[in-house]
Amino acid sequence: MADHASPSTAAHSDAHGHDDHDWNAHIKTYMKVGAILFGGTVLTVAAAFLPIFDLHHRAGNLTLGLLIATVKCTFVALIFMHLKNEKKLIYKFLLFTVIFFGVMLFLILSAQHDPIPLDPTHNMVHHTITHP
Amino acid sequence: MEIPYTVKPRPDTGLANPKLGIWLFLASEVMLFGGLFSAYIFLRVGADFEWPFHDLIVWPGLTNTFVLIASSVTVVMAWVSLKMKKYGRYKMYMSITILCAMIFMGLKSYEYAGKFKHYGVTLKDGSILEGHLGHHAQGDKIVFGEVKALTFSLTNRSADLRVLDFRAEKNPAFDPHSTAEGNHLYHPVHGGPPVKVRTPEGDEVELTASWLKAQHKAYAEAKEASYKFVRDKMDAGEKDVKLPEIQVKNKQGLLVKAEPSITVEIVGEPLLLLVDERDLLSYDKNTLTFREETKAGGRLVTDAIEFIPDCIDLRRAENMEQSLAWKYLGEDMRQKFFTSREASIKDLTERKPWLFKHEKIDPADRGKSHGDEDVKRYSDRYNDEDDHDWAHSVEHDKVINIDRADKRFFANFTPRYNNFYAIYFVMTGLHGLHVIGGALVLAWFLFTGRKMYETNPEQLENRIEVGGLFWHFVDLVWIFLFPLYYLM
Repeated sequence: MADHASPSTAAHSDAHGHDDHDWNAHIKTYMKVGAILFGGTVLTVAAAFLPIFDLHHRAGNLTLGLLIATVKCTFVALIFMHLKNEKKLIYKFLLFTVIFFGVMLFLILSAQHDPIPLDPTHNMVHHTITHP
Repeated sequence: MEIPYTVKPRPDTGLANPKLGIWLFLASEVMLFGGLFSAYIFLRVGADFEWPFHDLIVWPGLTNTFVLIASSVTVVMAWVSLKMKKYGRYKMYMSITILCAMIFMGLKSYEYAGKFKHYGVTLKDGSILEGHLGHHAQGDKIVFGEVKALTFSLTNRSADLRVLDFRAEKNPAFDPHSTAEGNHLYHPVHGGPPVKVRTPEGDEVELTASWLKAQHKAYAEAKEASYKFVRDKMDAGEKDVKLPEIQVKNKQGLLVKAEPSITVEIVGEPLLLLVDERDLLSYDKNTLTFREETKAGGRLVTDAIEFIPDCIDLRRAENMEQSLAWKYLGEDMRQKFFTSREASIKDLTERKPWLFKHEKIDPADRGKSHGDEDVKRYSDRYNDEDDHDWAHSVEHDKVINIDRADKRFFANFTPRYNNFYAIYFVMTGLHGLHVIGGALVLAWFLFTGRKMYETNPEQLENRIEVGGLFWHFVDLVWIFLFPLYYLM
């Protein structure tokens, strides 16, 4: 795993007590994460173009692409945004964010199952301009 | 006054206030973009058209992804440099970050500009032609000439002299074979000379806003006078009072019927107008009616859409063989289309589809080398199982004139084109604003950080960390936007 060199103490905490050597370890980690993100991007493009998972309506490509994006996202959040070593309070906030986001997604997508049948001719507005 | 806990953690939260603040803000940002991502899923799942696949060119999006990732690395490196007390390195990394933001926005503008110039025409039978406006002449504008009379509504308060803004002139140097910039057959005249008109009473006046305002006022007063007549009669106890004819005094001082509109004749050269169809309520061969009910009497020169197609999409055509597209592209193109379609299906079965992409071939004489004029382009969007029977290719720079009566919908690739472009512009636009905002804040820290570095370096470190957190969030959003819009 690339983050083996990641800081054991909170990266965001007081700078005192760190010497240059510690920070060099951090830099290594950040570079590795950067490389992972670059590589992940290449993989995402490959996932979209290669028909290896080309199931119905590109669902395979879509899932794989979003999966890679999620992994990249995790690296950014954990290492770059120091969530790996963060105070409990922030985790609490983020837990609520995830819950609220889930509820919002559910509410919006539940409209897909609108029980009222759609009449395509109802309320249809026709463009009235006439052409000679 | 000193703001507390900018550096030291607050005892009850265990966090310095800026850190707590930025995370709360980022949580709200997650909800903002989350709502838009849900909207994207909702639109895509419920789309009643084939969701565009590989419609956007991949390389600018891919480059921008690399650029943002690089900037995420440099912003965190800028922060580490501060921690290591290396201000020079901090300045370098922060400068690279801001440079990355500028590259990102530059590429974004390049992409947006391409969309604004790219058009799609949906014909009456559902066939779609994509391409660019002809650059020889009027493009998508309606050309209406020999305008000798203008009629202004006196009842519609929004009636103004906007019609004069559409004045155009014919370019005498027009050469139909030249593609030189500015060599248009018709081009708009901005701020043309004043227009003289003859009123119904025979006076010659200059057409000005104050003149039109006076006409509106006279009519409104005349109307008010007849209402007053009715009110007075009713106040006096009369019943069933009829509204009398609205009258105004003419030049001789006699009362005559007031018309709800005024028609004036153009004195001198008739006008030539170049009008966008969206500015009109309706038009026919002799009259243009603008949205504010102003009418122009003259002669329709052309309302054809001058178009250079680069793509045919027949997925929604009622009958591919009989598509209206062939009316414009010709029998030759029709045969090539179906030959290439067969060739593409054969290719798809024989070869790996991804190798087939972007290939410039002329199916009619495969294997030979081609001049630029007969280079053919396949759509990127053959990939779907149901789609590859509409493979399309169009000769470059073939200008066609699409009859407006054959058009169902016409727009450039902006939010009005379809839901895909609507949500694309909303999300990438909002993301772009975040890039600009983030870059401005980071630039502020870069250019004004020296003093704080010398007096309170820890506070500057905290600032950079907080600004960096926002920057990483902007990167995170793009990590999802890129595959969803460019790849999937």
